[in-house]
Amino acid sequence: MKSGHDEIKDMLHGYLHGTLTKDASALVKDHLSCCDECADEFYIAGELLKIEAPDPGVSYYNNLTKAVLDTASVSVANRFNLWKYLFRPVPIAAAVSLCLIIFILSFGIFHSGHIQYAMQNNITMDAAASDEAMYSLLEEEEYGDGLAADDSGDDLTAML
Amino acid sequence: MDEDSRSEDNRLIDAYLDGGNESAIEELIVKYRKEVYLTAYRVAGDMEEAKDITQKALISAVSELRNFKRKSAFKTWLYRITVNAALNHTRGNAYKTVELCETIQSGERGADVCLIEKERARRLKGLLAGLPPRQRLSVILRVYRGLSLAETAAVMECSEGAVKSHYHLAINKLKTAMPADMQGKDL
Ligand SMILES: [Zn+2]
Repeated sequence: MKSGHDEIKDMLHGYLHGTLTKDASALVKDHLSCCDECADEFYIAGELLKIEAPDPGVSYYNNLTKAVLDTASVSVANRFNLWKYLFRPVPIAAAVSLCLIIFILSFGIFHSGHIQYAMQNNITMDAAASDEAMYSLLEEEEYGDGLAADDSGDDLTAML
Repeated sequence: MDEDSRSEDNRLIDAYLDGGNESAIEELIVKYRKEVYLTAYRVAGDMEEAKDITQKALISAVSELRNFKRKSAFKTWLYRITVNAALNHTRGNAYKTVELCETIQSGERGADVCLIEKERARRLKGLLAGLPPRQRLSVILRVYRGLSLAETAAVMECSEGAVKSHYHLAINKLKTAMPADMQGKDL
C-alpha cells in the first residue's frame, strides 16, 4: 500500500469524505500526526467543508428540470421535429406513392389507348418515342425506391 | 470517474440525440442538477445567483449537447460549462458573504461556540472568495466536489501539475490568512 507524502496527499480528500478503506484511513491518520504540510491541508480542507451550502429545496429542483427542458429542448426538438416531419414515413410517403401510382396508371392507360388508336389507324409507333416513355417510367420507379429508402430511417440516422 | 456512470451518461445522450427521447435527457438533468447547483454556489457564494447560474448552465449544456465530442466524460464537460457560466455571471459582482448568527442570544455557552464556528466559516468563505479564480476553482473542485487531480485538470483545461500548484498556493494562502486564534486544529 502507498504510504509516501505524495501518495497520502492524494488520499487526503478520500479520508475527508470517508471513502477510504480502514487500512488506508489508518495510514493517512498516522501520516497526519508527523507531517505538518499534510496536516495543514487536511485542517483547511476540513474547515472549508464546514461551510454549508444552502439547500434550494425540492420544488426548486423540480421546477428547474422543467424550465431547462422547456427552454433548451425547444430549439433542439424543433430541429428533430423538422427532420421527423420531412421523413415521417407514413403520411408523406403514402401520399407521394399514391400520386405516383395514379400518374403511372393514367400515363399507361393513355398510352395503351394511344397505341391501340395508332394500330387501328395503321400508324406505326415511333421506336424512339416508345423507349423514351419506358425510360421515364423507370426513372419514376427509381424515384419511388428513393423515398422508400428514406422511410427506413437509415438516412435520418446518418444525418443525426 | 466511474466508467459505468460515464457509459450510462453516453447512453442517455444517444437516446436523446438519436431518438429525441426527452425522458433520457430529463434523467441526465436530474442526475447532475444538484452537483451543478453546489458548484455554482461555491463559485458565486449566493443562493439566488447560484440558482440562475445552474439554470443557465443546464440549458446551455442541453442546447449544445450535439457539440459534446466525448473526449472527456459528460460530467467533466458539464462542470466546465458550469464553472464558465458561474465565472461569467459573477464577473464584476462582489462575492456575497452571508451575515451569520443574527439570532443568537448572548450569554449561552452553546451560542458562543456557534458564534465562533460561524465567524470562522464566514472569514474562511471570504478568504476563499478573495483567491485568484484558478486557485479558487482548484479548491472548489478538489475539496467541495471531490474531483480527482485528473478530473480537476480536465475541467480547468490545464495540466495536473498546474492544478497541484494552484491548489497548493490556495491552501497556503488560506492557512496564512486564517488568524492564529481561528486555527483550532484538532485532527
Ligand atoms: Zn505529508
